[in-house]
Amino acid sequence: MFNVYGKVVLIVDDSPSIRREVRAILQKEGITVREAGTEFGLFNTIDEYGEVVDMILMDLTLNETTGFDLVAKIRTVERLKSIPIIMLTQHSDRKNVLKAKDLGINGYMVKPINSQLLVERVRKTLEESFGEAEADSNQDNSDPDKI
Amino acid sequence: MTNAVDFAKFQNETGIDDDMAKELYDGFLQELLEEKDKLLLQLADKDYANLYKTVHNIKGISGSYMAMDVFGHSQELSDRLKAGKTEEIGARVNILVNYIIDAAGEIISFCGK
Repeated sequence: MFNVYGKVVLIVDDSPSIRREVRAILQKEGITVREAGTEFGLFNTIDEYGEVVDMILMDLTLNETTGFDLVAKIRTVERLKSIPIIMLTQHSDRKNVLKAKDLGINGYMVKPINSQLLVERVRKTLEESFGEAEADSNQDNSDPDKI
Repeated sequence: MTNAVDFAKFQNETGIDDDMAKELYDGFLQELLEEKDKLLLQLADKDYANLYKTVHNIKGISGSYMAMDVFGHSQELSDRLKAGKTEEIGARVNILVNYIIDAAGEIISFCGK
């Protein structure tokens, strides 16, 4: 099983109750959780911890904007282009699921939160992300021109 | 007392211990009461767009925290507002407020306040 201990997940949700619940669930697994409730908070947190945020859990409906708009903005930042993002939302309609897919969002989970599913999805997404990174790293090392 | 909030189910599903559950429910209570106050102001202002957002948030947090009466009624109200159905909206909001007050009472007891 992929070891998520010490990995950093950023939860973006305008509800403090949901952020605290997600934090409590993921912290039990040894994951470090950062929180943001707004677009400003999101980019502020990324500026502060940007180098070590391993994935983002994003609410779809925020006070001043939407999760989709924020994902589109995140994807324009070079160093955040490939950060895995899972949408965590009450909106389960097909249109939103397809839009998430178009934006390259890595997963889509419907609230209320099921903690077991959340942990499994986060673990799987991190494993895929780090697995690819490790594969890229191995490929780099095997290329004699890059040594 | 009714069973407006299923604390055992919440703890069972999240695997969170008693102390952490009380801390989380305390935060939930604060947010729920703030949202309740917003509901009443938005209803008075006939601000249905923001009323929908507030009800939608109440639905989200109450579902996660197993306040099932609040969740059920906010879900119904959210669907009505989304469809633009505002008839008897005052009565429906008042019912939701009553469910919130019931849930708040149980949370206060649970948190030992």
